[in-house]
Amino acid sequence: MKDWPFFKGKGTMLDFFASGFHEVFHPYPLFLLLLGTIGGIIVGLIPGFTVTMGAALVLPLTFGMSSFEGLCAMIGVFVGGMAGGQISGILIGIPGTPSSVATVFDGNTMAKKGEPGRALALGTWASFLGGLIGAAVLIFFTPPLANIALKFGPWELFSLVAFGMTVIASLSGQSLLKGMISGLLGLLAAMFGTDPMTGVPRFNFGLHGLTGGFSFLPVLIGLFAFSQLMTSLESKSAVSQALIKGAKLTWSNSKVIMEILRQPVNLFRSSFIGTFIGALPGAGASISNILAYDQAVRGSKYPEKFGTGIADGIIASEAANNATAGGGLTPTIALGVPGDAVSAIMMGCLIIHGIQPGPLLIVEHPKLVYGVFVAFVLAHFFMLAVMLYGIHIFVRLTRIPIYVLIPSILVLCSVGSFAIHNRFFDIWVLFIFGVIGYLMAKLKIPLIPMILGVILGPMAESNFSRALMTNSHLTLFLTRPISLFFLVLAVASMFYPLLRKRLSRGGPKKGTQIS
Amino acid sequence: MKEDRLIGWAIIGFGAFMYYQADLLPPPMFGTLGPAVFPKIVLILLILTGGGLILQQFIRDRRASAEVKTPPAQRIEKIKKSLRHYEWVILTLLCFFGYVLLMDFAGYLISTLVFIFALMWLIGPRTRSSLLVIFITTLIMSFGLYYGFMTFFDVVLPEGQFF
Repeated sequence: MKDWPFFKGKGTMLDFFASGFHEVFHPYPLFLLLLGTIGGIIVGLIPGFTVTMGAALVLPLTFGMSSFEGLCAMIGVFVGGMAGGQISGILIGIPGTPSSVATVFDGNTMAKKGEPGRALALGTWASFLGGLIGAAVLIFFTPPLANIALKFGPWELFSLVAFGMTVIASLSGQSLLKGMISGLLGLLAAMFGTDPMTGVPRFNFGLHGLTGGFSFLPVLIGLFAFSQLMTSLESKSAVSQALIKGAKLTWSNSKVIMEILRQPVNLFRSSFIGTFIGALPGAGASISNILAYDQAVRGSKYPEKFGTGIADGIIASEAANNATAGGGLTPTIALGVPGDAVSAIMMGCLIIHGIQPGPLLIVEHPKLVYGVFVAFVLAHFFMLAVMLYGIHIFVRLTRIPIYVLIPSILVLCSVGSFAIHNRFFDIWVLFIFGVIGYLMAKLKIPLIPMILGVILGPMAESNFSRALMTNSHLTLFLTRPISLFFLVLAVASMFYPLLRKRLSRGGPKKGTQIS
Repeated sequence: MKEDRLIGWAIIGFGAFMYYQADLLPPPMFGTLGPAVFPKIVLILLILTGGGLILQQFIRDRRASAEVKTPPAQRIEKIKKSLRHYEWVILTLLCFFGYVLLMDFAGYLISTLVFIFALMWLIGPRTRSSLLVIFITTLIMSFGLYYGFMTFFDVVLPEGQFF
């Protein structure tokens, strides 16, 4: 294994892997990882609740933990949630999360044909294998990417943020302009409070609570959890969907594994699609599962059988959505630019614990980063075990009535928002951003660009200021090759929606939206 | 979508108001960089994007065929339908607003007892078995969370003016 220059004098890559194992293999981190995985599966299987919402709700509970322990809990939620969405998708026909939309096409049909156990086992094993492929990419691509990013100056870092924001704006919704509005509102929200360069208070409108700006956590919980709860209330259906009658949850693991391994092209293609989509800022599992399914149909010798309950469709969708997690964490750790909303929340977890994400993360906290790698791989084993052995219990959880869940989670949201700074004002922030988030969702303005704007705002502003303080010529943003490269990519990404529209005209109409 | 025009104007209005606020910030002590520079760049982009949304809607409107006006009776029926659709959302938002107000005054325990019980009663089925579920959930979420946060996280939730 290659040792990267930034490890010089600190140890080898293998040393850090060993210390990563050492960090994880303690009772408490292992317990949190397992608990997070179970929690993630539960959040994932409840229709209308998303993995992002689960991660946002877990974040306040990480205060009392170390940064690594907090990350363990969140990794568990991430991995468990990606796999959990298939349960309700297969058994009820309603995907628990948008990342399992394509699983329903064949999974639910297979279940209706009398093989719900086989469908769930196929989805679980495909999630496991796809997740491990994503983990391999995370482990082997993060250090070289960080090595490149370490050479970046403030011009490159600012342009990188600009690129990340435009990609998110163009990918995460149906309208580029609405995506940009969302991102710019997020950047603006990050500017409330004291200016980091001059110490001058900005936009506090005489309110004492606004002197320190908006706390990241209530904004996040408001946008992703509170607003999502309001959306769930619209349908007025207290989880009345019936499970498939007489569903026998039996399967043979060896047969299922062989069935998946007989399709290496489908498995690897879907996993790589998932990883690649995950690594793109803003494009998450809700896109990757559809894209992988679409490619599986196109690459199949029997495309007409898709949708009739064949294994290929389940494998493609589930391998892709779990691989997305590894892809999403790669730019988060290497560059400090999150690949999706859950990675963004994990970045928030680091910030809360006083660790600044970015290219220096792997240099300053190698043990933590390698611990995350090990925990990420281990979480897939936990997910596999919990899904295969706990499926009978999880199935019952799809019946928890919404009138119990929503008031309870609203209380959890308020407690979590209050607890971070013991500040009552933060509960009002939660309420206001919850309403804003709900209105934005109703007006089809994507939420992910906004939260990324809140997270990346300080990084964008400080690097912009540092660049201009070093040299006041704005042209340097265009004359430095890497900075120019990112800016060109940023402009190119704006044209992506047009290309996508053209491509989708020829493909199947299975639109979905990132939540 | 028709609402895009409205969003565009709202964004322009909000952007202009915030730009005025940014303009009130003190000028830079040295050089050209001050606390207002970056916010102003973002706000200009925001106003331009809002304008872009209005322009996009204008172009769409020109391409679209003449709009068929809905009769007033149908419009009222449509409003009634959407009110029914959002009934629980509006109810929950009002309850939560009241909850936060009450929490500031009466503290976490009392306000949570009232909020959870009231909201579950309003949106849930009113049967004997559900009443038991409501009762147990109310107790767990109020007392359980209060003592849980105090014991495990050393966080004392708002106590209000009675304690």
